[in-house]
Amino acid sequence: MIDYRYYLLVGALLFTLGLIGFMIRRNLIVMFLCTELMLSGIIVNLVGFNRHWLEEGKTILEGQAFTIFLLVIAAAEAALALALVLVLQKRKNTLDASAFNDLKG
Amino acid sequence: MWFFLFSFVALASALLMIIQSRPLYSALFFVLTILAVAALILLQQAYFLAFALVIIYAGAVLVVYVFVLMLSRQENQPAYDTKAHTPLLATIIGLVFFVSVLQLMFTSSGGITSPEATGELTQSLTETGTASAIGRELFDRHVVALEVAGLILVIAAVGGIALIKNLKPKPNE
Repeated sequence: MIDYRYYLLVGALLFTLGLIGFMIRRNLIVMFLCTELMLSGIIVNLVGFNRHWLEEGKTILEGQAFTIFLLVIAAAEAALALALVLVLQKRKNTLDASAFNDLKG
Repeated sequence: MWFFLFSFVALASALLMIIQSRPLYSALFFVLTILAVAALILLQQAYFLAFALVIIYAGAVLVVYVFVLMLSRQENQPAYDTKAHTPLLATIIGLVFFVSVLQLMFTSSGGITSPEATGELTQSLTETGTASAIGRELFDRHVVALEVAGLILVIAAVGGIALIKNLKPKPNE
């Protein structure tokens, strides 16, 4: 079967792609989508660690429990973030993240 | 073999997601990424987790994203969708981050190297992905965190409604 370090590698790659996407895009909704991509990279990472802890002989499933909590956090954050995006879009009529620079010097 | 196939699908659709110019296609590619990640989780025989990921993440959260994309339609192809915002600097920062994570994983002080320590699969994965196993794990060792997670969901629901409540158009006076 697959060694758990490959899971960590895939998780790191997904997180890096989400990070690059978060910095590249300026559409607010796509920026939040890249945040969710980072969270899914962490989920892959945790599943790899779950496998590693099972291999060490401890029959705990902490990786999966942590992933359940991460799903809860992601869902709550997505709901609130999209509500905020709708309010912001009603205010300025655009989804550009650089449109809110009124305080810029 | 399946691991490499699903990880390639996940990484390719993640890459395609961040360079799409239309945000709806980004959301759809993200759905594909989540399905590939669920397949990767299924390879570890964590059945409940894979189904929870598909149902909650791809089935609820991303559907909300698509609805919000529908509600906030702009004119076709605004400038902030077609041109990337400092792509070279972002790629350099991402590469620096990835190389530092790799070094953390594969040096001797990181603790994850030494292939003789991990060895082959000695513990079988039977009965470790069922709902009863995860339920026993959650309720035996993480009860407080479980209650706090429920509280977070209630707060998110109340907060979402409170944010949207005053979004009605102003009456003409």
